[in-house]
Amino acid sequence: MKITRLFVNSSFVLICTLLAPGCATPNRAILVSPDLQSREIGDVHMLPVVDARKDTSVKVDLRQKIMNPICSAMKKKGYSVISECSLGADGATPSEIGEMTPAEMCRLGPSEARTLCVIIVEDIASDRNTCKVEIVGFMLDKTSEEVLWKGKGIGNQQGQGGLVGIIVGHLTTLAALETSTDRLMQSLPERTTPKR
Amino acid sequence: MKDTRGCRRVNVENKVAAVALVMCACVLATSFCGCGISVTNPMVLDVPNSGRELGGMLSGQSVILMPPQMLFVRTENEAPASAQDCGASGLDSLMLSTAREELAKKGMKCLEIDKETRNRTPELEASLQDLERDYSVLMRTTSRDDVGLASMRKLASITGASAVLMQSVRVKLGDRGGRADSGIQWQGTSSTTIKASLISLASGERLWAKEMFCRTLPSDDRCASALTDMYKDQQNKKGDDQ
Repeated sequence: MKITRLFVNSSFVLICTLLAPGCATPNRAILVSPDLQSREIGDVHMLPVVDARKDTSVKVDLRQKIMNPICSAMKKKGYSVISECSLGADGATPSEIGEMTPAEMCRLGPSEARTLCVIIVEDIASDRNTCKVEIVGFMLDKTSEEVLWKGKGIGNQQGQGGLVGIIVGHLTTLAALETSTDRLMQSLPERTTPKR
Repeated sequence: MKDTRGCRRVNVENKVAAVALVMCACVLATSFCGCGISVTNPMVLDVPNSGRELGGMLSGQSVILMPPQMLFVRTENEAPASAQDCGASGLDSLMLSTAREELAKKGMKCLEIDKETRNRTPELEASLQDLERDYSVLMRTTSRDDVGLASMRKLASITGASAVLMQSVRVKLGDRGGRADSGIQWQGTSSTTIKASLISLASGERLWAKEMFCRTLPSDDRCASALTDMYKDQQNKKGDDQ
């Protein structure tokens, strides 16, 4: 019986290790304005998450799983965030927004906003027991049409085949979503001065 | 009698332990053997507001084939990648030849404007340059907002063509995904998106558009076959499937 217990325990530990997120190398921003940490940007208007996925078979509450964690992380980093309910996209589809240039994206959101944050979900691929999430984030200055920050977060959750994979399948999707938002936020610099 | 009961209890415990061991071994074996990595098959998608059938459209009329717009980037940081690294050498020729073949099947005449012709006719060159500048906007917008309309009308008057076929490809180069031999699985991060859009030169209206998305590189055979599928009408596709 002891052997059985040992076997079960060791296999559980092994599976947990394999399911754990990949090695945590710091994620760098694709583009960041050199003075983002100190320049005056006012409130950051966070637009609703743009679902620009080609394959939308994985159903996810993007506000709850992506937008809310990102808003919290930005607040922790010293940004003043205002969540917007509408993209103000004037009929453009999410797919079109996903392919817009930063200058075109600056036309989104409320007209009075100065700084915009646009989060685009490019892909969520779930294969029973593995999941990959790809998100891109932009912080834009609407007045100068300048990209203040652009980052990318990829959450690639490893899984196992067979029964274990089937049982914990939905958890890998959640873990991949969490990893992708964490990685994206890693690339956003912290504010060093008061916002105003 | 007591001894026999004790022996029986020991036997039962051993059997339970053996069964538990076998069950654990089965669970672990199925866990580690893996089920192979399944890459999502290419998906041919309808572009919103462009769901018309290509068959019967512009039959007998000329269509200008524009060279495809190619973009190759690395998935993790969007840094430029080479066509060779992305397994996309010759993809532009394949896209053009597929379009030429498929449009011809639908009765359209394909018009390809070479460099010499462009150099000989400055007006043609200027119109084509305008279209090339607005390529990505023309490929994606559903409302035209007169983008490039003047150039398109000029192009129609010079060439006599009724429409232009624009194509684009975006390849993201990532890793290949899990190894089936070790049983450890993860999703590959490479993908290919190919778009084709037929735009009326008279009105700037998007007559037809299709998109192909595949979570693999263009060198995958399935990408090439999906390229042909893009031009198939729904009715024909159903017939083929049956």
